[in-house]
This record gives sequence, structure tokens and C-alpha cells, in this order.
Amino acid sequence: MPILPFMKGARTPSITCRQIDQNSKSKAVFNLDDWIEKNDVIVRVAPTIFGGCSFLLVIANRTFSGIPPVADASSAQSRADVVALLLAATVVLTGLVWLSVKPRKPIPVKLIGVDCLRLDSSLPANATAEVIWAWEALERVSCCRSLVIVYRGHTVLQAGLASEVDGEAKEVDSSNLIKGSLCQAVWRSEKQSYLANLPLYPGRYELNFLPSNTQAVVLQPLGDEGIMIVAGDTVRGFGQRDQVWISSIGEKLDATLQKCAFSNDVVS
Amino acid sequence: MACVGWNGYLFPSPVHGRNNVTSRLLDQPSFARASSTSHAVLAPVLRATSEDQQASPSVDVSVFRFTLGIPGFNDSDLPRVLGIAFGAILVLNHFLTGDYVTAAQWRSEIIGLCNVIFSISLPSIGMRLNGGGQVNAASSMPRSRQIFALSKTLSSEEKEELAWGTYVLLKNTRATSVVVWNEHLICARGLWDIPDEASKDVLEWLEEILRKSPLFSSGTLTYIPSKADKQGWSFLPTGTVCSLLIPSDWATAEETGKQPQVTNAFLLCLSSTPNAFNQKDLLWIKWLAIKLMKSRPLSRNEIKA
Repeated sequence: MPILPFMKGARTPSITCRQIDQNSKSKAVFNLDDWIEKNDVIVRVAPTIFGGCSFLLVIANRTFSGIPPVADASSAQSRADVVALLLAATVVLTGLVWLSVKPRKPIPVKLIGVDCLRLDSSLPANATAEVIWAWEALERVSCCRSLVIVYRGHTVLQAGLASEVDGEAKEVDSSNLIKGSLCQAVWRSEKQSYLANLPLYPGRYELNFLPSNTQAVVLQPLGDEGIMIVAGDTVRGFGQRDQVWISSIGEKLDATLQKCAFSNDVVS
Repeated sequence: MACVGWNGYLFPSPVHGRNNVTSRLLDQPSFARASSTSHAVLAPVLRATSEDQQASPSVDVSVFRFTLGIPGFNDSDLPRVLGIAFGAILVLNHFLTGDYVTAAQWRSEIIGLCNVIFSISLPSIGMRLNGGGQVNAASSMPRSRQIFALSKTLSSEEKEELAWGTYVLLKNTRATSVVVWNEHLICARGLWDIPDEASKDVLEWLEEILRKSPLFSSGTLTYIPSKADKQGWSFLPTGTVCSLLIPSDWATAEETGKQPQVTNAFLLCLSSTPNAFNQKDLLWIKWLAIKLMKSRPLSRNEIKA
């Protein structure tokens, strides 16, 4: 196996940098998007609370103003109260919708499997470096714990955790994999497929080389000859940004691998 | 003299790709990235199965999630429409009341108007909750022009690498301008203010300005989330407020655990959006910097020798 330029190091989940101090006379720019992202819970609850309080205030106003509790269409007061109540109901319902679609915070799961790193020996040095770079980047930045790249029926890379067979990492049966429904569907659509909660999908048995408790999988087509399988340890763990970057990495890998000729040997 | 492409295309293209995948890498990414519009979903909502051990009891409000099915109408704008409609009725009711409006009616109308204002703003807030609200960079940098310049000292593989790397930076992040420096300026892409006299050799012009700026000798990862334009750097395109500089030796040293070597290579990303790069963006850009600057191209002097 060629000497790889990327050595395994400690994962760096966060990044620190020197931020240039702002001018002391100027205030930091308030970024509404960041504020909303940081205070997601408060923003989602706010319409419900606001609408609920408005509802109660209208009722209290009518009660304590000495107005008879009769809905009279000829009364301007009653009409104003009804419209105010409808507006409050609109705000409350929107808030309830926001709360119902609030995503549950994902919790990573310790995947059960064996570590492995298998590379196709016929890959040239630049393709090897690129494939390894893709694995290292995905593992460090996202919740990826396994990466499999299959191209022209050959397993180009199997890295990370794999299911165990006789103490060894289970090899990828690339010929069956590419005939399976998951790969065929991805190639037909020519788009990335994100299985955010893998245990719910019946087709997960085609990915039996992955740890049995894999939580999420991204299937990225590499043109129409390859597929990249990115497996994660967190349900819905691959965010929008991760999916976009996986797609971009897939495009580059396709451009690189289509220039390679593959043999049947695999180096572990 | 560098190869310069105006308004999107590098000629001649060293990159060949299946279905124009890699040739598309030379296209300019659209800066007006449409935010995902959220549509209210049809009931029933997908409920957690019994296998989901982390399920917690909660009120099922899926009945409130509906769609009107009106083509061309975004259901998330419904609160705004209702707010405007009811607000108009409220105002109309006020003026039809006559000369004397009771204090109780005033209070009801004020509460109603507060709800009108809140309802109108709800779709915008909801869009930001779903990750929308991105700025159209091109509109905030009217004086800048799209360029894509690569050094002629690069091999075709290096050009392909840089074409892809700068393309994904501009497409996947809020960066509007990118510079790759490895001993000298080897790539500049995105929106830049290029004077007419520099149009013949953009890289040479930009390299001269960058060498004079204090950012050039920074040597450390430097992130200016906002007001980068107040730093007085002449190379900044008009409208740029956010700046991120990643030295390659720092990026590689972080991952390998080795001591950083002093190399003159960095990746510079600029943006017209304040706080353009969040934690995830910084990590991805760092890894891209490791990939883009792993090789050292020949300098102009070495080519001439």
C-alpha cells in the first residue's frame, strides 16, 4: 500500500481560530440567522405563547369591560373581538406546527463492528490519495463511521467500521450490491439518496457489510458506474451541508476514478 | 500570463468529464442559492415506531398540518395572508364604527394589530428556522465581476483540482471570492473588483496587492466574521465583509499532529455575508485546503529558468 500523506490524528470536532477583534467603537453585527439558530426552542415556542396570551387578553378585556358575553354581529366591539381571536388562533396554530416539526436532537450510537481499511491495489497514487482524503474528511467532519466506494463492480475502498465475520471485517460483495434495489434506484434517479433512519428501511439488508446498528446512510452515485456509501452513527446525522459536500466529493471521485483501470486484487 | 475566464468559462479547458460533470466545474456557481421552501405536509405524520427507544410522549398536532393545494401558493405564507386579511377587516371595522370608539374596542384592536404584525412576520422567521434566508451575493456586490484565473505554471491535474475545489467552495458555502496561494498566487475565482488596466493579467495584479497586505504574512488561521472591509485591505472586493484565511501548514499540522512547517501557502475565502462561515463550514474548508495545497507548483522563475 503506498505511503499515504494523511496520517490519522485526533478528531477535531471544533475549530479554533484567531478572530480579529472588532473596532471597539463599533458593535458586532447582529446576525438574525445565527440568533434564530441558537435560540431555536424559544423561536418555535414564541408564536404559541404570544397567540395564547393574546387570546386571554381579548377574553379578559371583554370580561372586565362590563360587556355582556353575547356575540352580537351588530356590535363593533364584538366584531373586533372575533377578528382578534381569529388572529390569535392563527398565530397559535402556526406555533403548534413549528413545534410539531421540531427535529429531535440526534444522539450518536456506538456502532458495533470491526475497523478496516481496504483499498484496490490497482489504484494510482493520486486516486489513492484522493479516496483516502475523502474518507478522512468525511470521518472528521460528519458523523460518517464507514465509507465504501464501489466503481465498475470493484470495491475501491472499504474504510471504517464493518460488520464482523469470523473476527474479520466482512468484505463488500460488490457484484450483488450493484444488482440490488438500492444501487439501481440511485443510478436510475442519478441523485443522492439519504436514508436518514436506516433501521426503518427494508432494503438495509443489501448493506450487510456495514455495522448492524448503522443509523443513517447516504448513497451517492458516482456517475453511472460507481456508488459511494457513507454510513453514519446518528439518525438524521448528515445535515444539509454534509449532503451537499458529499455530492461534490462524489463528482470529483467519479472524475478521478473513471480514468483508472482496476484489477481484482484488494489490499488491506 | 494567466489563463483568465470572464463571466464563467476558462479557455481552453483542461478538464474533461463524463456528462460534462467536470467541465461544469468551470461554470460559475449560482450565488442566488434558493432557500428550501417549506411546505406544510399532508397528514398523517410519520410516527416513531416501537423500535425507537428514544421516543417521548408528545401531543400529536399533525391535524394542524395541511396544504391548501393551490398551485403556485406556498402554504407557509398562509399566516401572512390571513394576517393581512384579518388586519384589513379590523381596520374596516374601526372606521365603520362611527364617531365614538370605546376604550375596550381600542384595546381589542391593538391586540389584533399586534397579532397582524406577528402573523405577517411568521413566514420569514419560519424560513430561517428551516435554514433559509441566504443573501444573494451578486446583488450586494454590484461593482464586482465574475472571474476565474489559474496560473499557467500548473499541470492539468492541478488545474482540475483547483477548478473543482474553488467551485465547491463557492457553491457549498457563502463564499463569494476565493484565492489559493502556494508560493505565489495560483488561483483566483469568484467576484472581484478588477480594474480595466489589470484585465490582461489578473493574477499578477492581485498577487502584487496581496503581497502588500498584512493578511499575507498572517501565518495563522484568521477569521473576520464581519466588518472585514474596515481593515483597509485594498484587495477586498466592494461589499466584502467576512474573511477567512487558512494557512495550509496549519491545516495539515492540526490533522497530523506534527509541528507546522513554515510554508507559504494559504486559502483565502471572502464573503459579502456577515458571519458567513459557521463551525461546520470551517471544518469542510479546512479539509479542502489540505487537499488543494498538498502539492507545490513551479514558480514563474523556475519556469523561465
